[in-house]
Amino acid sequence: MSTIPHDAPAVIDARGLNKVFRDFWGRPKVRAVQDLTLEVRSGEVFGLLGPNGSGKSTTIKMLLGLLYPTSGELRVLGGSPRDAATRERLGYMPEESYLYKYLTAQETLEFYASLGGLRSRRRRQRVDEMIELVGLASARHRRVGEFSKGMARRVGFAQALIHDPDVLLLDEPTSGLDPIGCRQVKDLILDLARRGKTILVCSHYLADMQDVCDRVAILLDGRVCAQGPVRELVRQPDTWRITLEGVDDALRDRLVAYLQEQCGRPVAVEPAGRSLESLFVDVVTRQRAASPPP
Amino acid sequence: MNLPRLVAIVRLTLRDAVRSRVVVSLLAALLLVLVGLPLLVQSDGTPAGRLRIILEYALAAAIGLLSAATLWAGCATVAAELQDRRLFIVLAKPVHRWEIWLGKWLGIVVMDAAALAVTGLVVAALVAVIRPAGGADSQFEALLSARDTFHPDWAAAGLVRAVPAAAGDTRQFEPKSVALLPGHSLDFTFPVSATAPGGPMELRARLGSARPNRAPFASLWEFGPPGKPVSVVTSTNAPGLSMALAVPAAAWSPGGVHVRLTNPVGRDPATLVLGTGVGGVELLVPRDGFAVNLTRGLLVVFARLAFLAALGVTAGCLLSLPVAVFVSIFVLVLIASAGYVQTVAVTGMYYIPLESEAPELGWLDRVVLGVFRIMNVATAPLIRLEPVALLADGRRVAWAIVAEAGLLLGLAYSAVASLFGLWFFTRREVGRAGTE
Repeated sequence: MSTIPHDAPAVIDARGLNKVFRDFWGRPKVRAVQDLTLEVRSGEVFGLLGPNGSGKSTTIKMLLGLLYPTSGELRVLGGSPRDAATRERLGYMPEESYLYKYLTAQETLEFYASLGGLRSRRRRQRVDEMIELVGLASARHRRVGEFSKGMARRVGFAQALIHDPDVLLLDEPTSGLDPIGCRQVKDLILDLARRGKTILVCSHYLADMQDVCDRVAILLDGRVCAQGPVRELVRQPDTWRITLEGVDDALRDRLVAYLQEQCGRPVAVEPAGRSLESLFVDVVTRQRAASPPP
Repeated sequence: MNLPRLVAIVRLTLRDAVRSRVVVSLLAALLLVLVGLPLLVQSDGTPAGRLRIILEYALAAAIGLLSAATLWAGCATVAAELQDRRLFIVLAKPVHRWEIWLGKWLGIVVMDAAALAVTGLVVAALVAVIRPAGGADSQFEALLSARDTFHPDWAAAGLVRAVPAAAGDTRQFEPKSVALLPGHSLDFTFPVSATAPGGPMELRARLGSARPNRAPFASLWEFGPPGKPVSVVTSTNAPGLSMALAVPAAAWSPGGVHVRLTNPVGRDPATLVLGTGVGGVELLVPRDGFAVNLTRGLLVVFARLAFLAALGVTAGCLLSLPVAVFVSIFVLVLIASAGYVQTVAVTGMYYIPLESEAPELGWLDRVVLGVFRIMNVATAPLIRLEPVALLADGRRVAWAIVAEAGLLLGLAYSAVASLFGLWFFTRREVGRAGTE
């Protein structure tokens, strides 16, 4: 996570955005987004959280120019997302891998690179880079239809990056990935953010969002219920977690007694541990290093 | 326009067709129709009869198959991608929607061009296989020659004249038929003046008689300069049936092909009636070879397929896949019914009245007739620009027809369909929950 200055320019600027889906007769059926105001600044990783049907995907589709706001103002990179020139600087990874199953991984990336406006030499170079980046070098000539869900997600991620966009819209980027893939994607998001890319992420995986996002907005029924920097939102006032190393049981008991006396209330104590994700990644990485796959 | 983007979409459309086995299935079906149908349909046993079956039935069926496949591919290429959301990623790239429309259309048009080329090669191969050695069958060779159609110059024959109905009326009246009494002759000339014919010509005529029965009668035909005919033929025919007579190339002169029709005085003389309108009497003059004519015919078909592809892609851009397919089937039925639509639009009757007199039309009839007349405006060119009947009859598909098909169907009709489709497609929202 990085610290984004408050005066950084707004890359995504939505004000009072509304989206109403109407039925065949033009009667309002669903109010998918209501009075949404968002500002995503340059170089920021911004998370859109919310349960199913909260309006996250609808918001992303409006940012891509696939859906049109019913009312409100929406600017992406200073222009309308319906303009092709705006989309030249946008990359999109959908929640499912909506890819052409009959194309190989390389053909898929070449196709999207062409749509991104890359010329032949740059296109070939970029395709090679992306295939390496997402770890599909050995499967580049296999058809996407034969891929596992995780591999297809990697192709989906690579196509979003293929034309080196300034803004990335990622819908559930870690969905379907194994823990190592998740870690790689999160590391990649952080790396891209360090390189100045602006990233808007939608996800159900709150731990993943907490790992990568600078700021988040929580949507419910199309409305923003909470918005702000992740650290501020999750912080509990006057509550601290202290991690101590090299402490035996006797010292721990004395410290707990002292803290309880000072605070005047019970103190929660539990053994420190690493996350299961961290353990999994370490074990698999070590195992693979010891016996690489044929 | 960004050419690499367009080429990428065209290549994708072609890859889709090839890898989803659409092309293989289509080529297999074309081969089955072109080779199998002549084996199934019984001909008169002659090589010329078999050739007619190939050109009139097998080629027409192959074109029908291609038309249906083109409409289907057009609908599916956009509607299916919207339905399974593959197009979302494409639309999120810096691509104009008209580039998607154009790329998809061009992809299908390229596929059609390849399928038509295969169709042409298969037809040419079949013709080569059944062709009698050394041009021994004159009927077969006549069908293979691309022939221009000429009608007599009735004005020069003195049959078109002013019959004023009132003072100052200067209109010219052309008779619909000419009656020829026994012992009388009628001289007329076909204005074949451009170049000498490339081979034997064919005269087709439909003669009637003034007799109340259908007893056959004789007619005497002389071809060549007046007084020095190079060919004299006596023909005996039943009234009303079409006759075909071979006319030697030597009968031609720079002034045209002169014909003298005589009603001979026999034992049972009858007054002959010769129709002078379309289908009455005509001369077919060979101009080109079969290969060139087939190529021109397939170019006309290609223009039609380009229009159908535009219709399909437009339907796919506007409608969901099932609805787009339904609309496309309706369009195919409409095209297949173009002849009926024209008959209704021209005659003003959409059913055969039981009474001898035409019934009075109600308001509903007028509305239906109005709809037919509007449809006829769109479908009439499809009848006029139909090459199969010309090819099967050994008539030349003129370059003018090819040009008209290209301009009208390939460009104008396709442009109207594309503008209509693009107007909606560029305004259409995609990604509405439950709508794709």
